[in-house]
Amino acid sequence: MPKKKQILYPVFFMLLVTVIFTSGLAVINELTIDKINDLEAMKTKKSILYASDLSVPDDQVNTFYAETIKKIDSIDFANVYKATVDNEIKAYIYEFSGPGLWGQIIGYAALSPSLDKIIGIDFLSHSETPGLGGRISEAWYKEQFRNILLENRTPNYISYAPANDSNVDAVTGATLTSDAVRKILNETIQEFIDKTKGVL
Amino acid sequence: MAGKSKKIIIQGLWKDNPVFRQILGICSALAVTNLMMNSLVMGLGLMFVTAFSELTVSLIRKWTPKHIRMMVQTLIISAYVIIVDIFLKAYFPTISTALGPYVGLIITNCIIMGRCESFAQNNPPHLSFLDGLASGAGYTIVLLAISFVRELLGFGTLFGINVLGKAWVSWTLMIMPPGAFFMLAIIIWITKNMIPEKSSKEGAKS
Repeated sequence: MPKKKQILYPVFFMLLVTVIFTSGLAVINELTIDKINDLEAMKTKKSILYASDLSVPDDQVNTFYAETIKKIDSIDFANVYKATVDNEIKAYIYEFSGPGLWGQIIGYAALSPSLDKIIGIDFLSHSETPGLGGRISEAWYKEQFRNILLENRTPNYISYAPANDSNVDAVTGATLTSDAVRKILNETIQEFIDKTKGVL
Repeated sequence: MAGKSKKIIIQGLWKDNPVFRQILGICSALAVTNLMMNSLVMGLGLMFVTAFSELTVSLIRKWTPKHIRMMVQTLIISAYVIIVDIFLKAYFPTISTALGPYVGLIITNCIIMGRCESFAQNNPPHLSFLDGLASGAGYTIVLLAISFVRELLGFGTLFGINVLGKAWVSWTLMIMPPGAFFMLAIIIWITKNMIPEKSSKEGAKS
């Protein structure tokens, strides 16, 4: 057993252990990085297709996405996509993000080509309470956003029951998260329409 | 040898159970127990990390300079936690998202450091590995017990399968943090009453 006062041995030992473990981790990381990136990309693709109401089975996502969705770079708005099926534009999809109750909510919203209708939304990531606010990613909540007409609703595109002009039900027990989603969508829809009217 | 192994298993699972006897790993026990699936994965992850960390610490204990052993242990533990994190990300992406930051936080779970320091530092590798498994299993069992009640009452489901039927009115409280506090306190209370004082003194020594 080395003496307590020794300096060289502990430093050497620590270095050796660090090098061994770090190299081990690097190898594992290298082996799985492609798979993880694929999964992340797949999630985004599925999310965009879901929002555009063009969901396909998992094994066709990559090919279908490649022939349908095109990214539009000419617009001053983060991550805007265009969905085209049989040479007909089906939807414009944009990425939205904003503060939820606990953290950033990020997702995609799809609008009809004439920007007068929400085709659908999907959430990519959020950190809301599981079972409460987290239920915004359940199908029953997201499906409510299909085909919401936007005409004459500026700026309250989304409004929850029981308001007179409501078009969506909030999540029971998760008022703050539901409100956050409403706010993010109302603001980003307005911004998207303002920035893209006449440009698309 | 068989007697010693048996003792280690009983201590990890019951007499010295990390959660309700040593009150360690409480933070994650409260955080991930709203669904049984999350608890199970978290428990398995912890079992893996504790067992292999203890094994490694024990293997190199003779060469580890005493005054830097904490650094070495932390390094070993974090390496195994990162492995679990990468594995979940690559093969169980949905669970990885559900557990969020808690997988990474296994590093700070006192159970692992505690067992490495108190057991693996002074015992041969195979017993250390077993001790890690037993402690991890003790933690997993408590997590599963808490999440069983929380998921059942809070969602009406077990492992995502509906068992209480559509008419069940979910107890929202159970899914929220207070539900975890109530359940954990009840479990500690019950087990404290089930283990006689004498053996608890015996357990505190090791």
